[in-house]
Amino acid sequence: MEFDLEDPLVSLEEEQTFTISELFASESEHVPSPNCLTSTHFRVFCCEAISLILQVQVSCKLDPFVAYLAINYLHRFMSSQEIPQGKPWFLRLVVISCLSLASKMKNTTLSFLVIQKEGCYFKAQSIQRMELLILGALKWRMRSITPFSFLHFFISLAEIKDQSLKQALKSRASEIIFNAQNDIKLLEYKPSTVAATALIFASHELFPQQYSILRASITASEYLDGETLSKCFDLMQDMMRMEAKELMIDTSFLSTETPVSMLERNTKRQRI
Amino acid sequence: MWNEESDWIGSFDALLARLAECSMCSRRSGERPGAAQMDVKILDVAAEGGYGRVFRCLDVHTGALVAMKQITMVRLSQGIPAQIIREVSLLRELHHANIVKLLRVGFTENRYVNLVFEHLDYDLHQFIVNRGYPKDATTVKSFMFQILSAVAYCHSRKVLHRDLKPSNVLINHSKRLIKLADFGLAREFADDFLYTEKLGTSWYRAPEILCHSRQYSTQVDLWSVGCIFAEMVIGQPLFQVINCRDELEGIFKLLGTPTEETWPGITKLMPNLHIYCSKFDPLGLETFVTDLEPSGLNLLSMMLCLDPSKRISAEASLKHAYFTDVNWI
Repeated sequence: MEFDLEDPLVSLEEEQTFTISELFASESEHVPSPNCLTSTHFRVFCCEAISLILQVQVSCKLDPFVAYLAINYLHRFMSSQEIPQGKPWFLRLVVISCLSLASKMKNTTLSFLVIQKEGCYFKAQSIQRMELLILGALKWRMRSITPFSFLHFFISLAEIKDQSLKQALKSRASEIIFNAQNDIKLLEYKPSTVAATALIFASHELFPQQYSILRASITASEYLDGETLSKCFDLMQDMMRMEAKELMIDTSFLSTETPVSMLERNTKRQRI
Repeated sequence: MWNEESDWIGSFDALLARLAECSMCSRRSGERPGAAQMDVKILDVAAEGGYGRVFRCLDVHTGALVAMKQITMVRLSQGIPAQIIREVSLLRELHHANIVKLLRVGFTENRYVNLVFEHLDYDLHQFIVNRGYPKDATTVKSFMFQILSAVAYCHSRKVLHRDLKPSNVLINHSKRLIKLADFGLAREFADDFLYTEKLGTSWYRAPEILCHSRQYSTQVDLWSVGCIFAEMVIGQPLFQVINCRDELEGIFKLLGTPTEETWPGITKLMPNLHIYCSKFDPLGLETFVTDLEPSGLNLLSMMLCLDPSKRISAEASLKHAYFTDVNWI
């Protein structure tokens, strides 16, 4: 059984209207329950867990999609559970189990032995039991619909002819989505909204002359709510500004980018 | 890592109890392991395979017949096997009239995973062997249309079946309804399952798989469907009737040894192709598949095309002239 997690519902040969409708209709089933977003415990727990997932991703050289999928499982699982207090091992066990499940769905090998070197030491049996808990809580729906599922569709709306432009746009939008997963506020928005917003940002950065056309075609989509898109846009803009500030603080970036080009990029972002 | 082991085990049990209401994961704490936890009553063993066993059961709530596939797990050093997770996850997203419906998932801790499916009367292999192959052209066409509809649906969701064969095509007798089954389990799982490799050949594998190409896609399923198509017409596996020492030789005997012209890239894929060179001129499909109308033979030849890039897709097959007859609907 082979499948593509990036575009789970896109036809190999042509767009099918009913398929797109189904994709938008079912995306709400792959996001965390709305109630949890107001919980301080949920936010604190998930921030720590995400930090650990990203740490494991870097040290184990995991595919970014595996980490992204693991974070999706984390949000969905923890939004359906009460977070147990006073059990620090629980966070680590959830993290390792989500990463294990994500790597299995992505058809990559993630040995428990490798993860254990990162300080997440649990018996295989314990991980198996947690995996079963997560599988049950998520109703075995592990093929999550993420923002990546929608990129192809939105790009196709703009009717861009140049394949390399489309690929560059998709790559940059994907990068924006990967970077955005740190901010838990983004969970308030559906994956399709996040995808649309990321594409608008990417097009502004890469192809200013195409920007207005792409933005118009995306916002005209019957599947998106204009007001929600606008709010998501504002949030992502704040995140981008924060990212720019962090770049200026981190001295390791100074050696790879001149102050002039950094200033130019920062100025460009502020103009959005 | 933790101070009291009994404490987190207690936590687990509490979490498990709260998950007891999950409709997909019907394990309940306190109940003894077995069929009872799946809310089914076992009637008999319907099939045995390398993966485990299939039981014919009654659903205790609805009284309906169901099929429960019990998969034996060994060597759990890596947790729940990936194949089970992927099969269940994919089936949970595939909703089509011609794809078997997965009703429930349950587990007996550390030993079995139980998948409960809707029950169908028999599979296409049994149909061909025991009831005489469908000599009726209308039945063949109807079955082919349903199989292709399911395959086109899977491919539109970027799901490859990879193991299409008559025993994975289920039939509802009264409705003459076809459903695809066995999404990924009926094959070798070296690390997670006990499995005995069947002796003999697999007559449904595409040539690009037999050449050990790692880059294959939806076309492999269309080759398998073509083999099923031929088998329904002639009453036995197509590549069984061709005398050959292996299935690749059989394919080349039937369709001719490929060249760079007929299958661009073949010499890189099969450096040892010279073993077959000049050995086979095509016998032709029409030699073996008699009694199939010309448009059917044309469709079959487009499915059993050596070059994967030229093989017809499931979507295009459904629009082929073979299916435009009003008579069979």
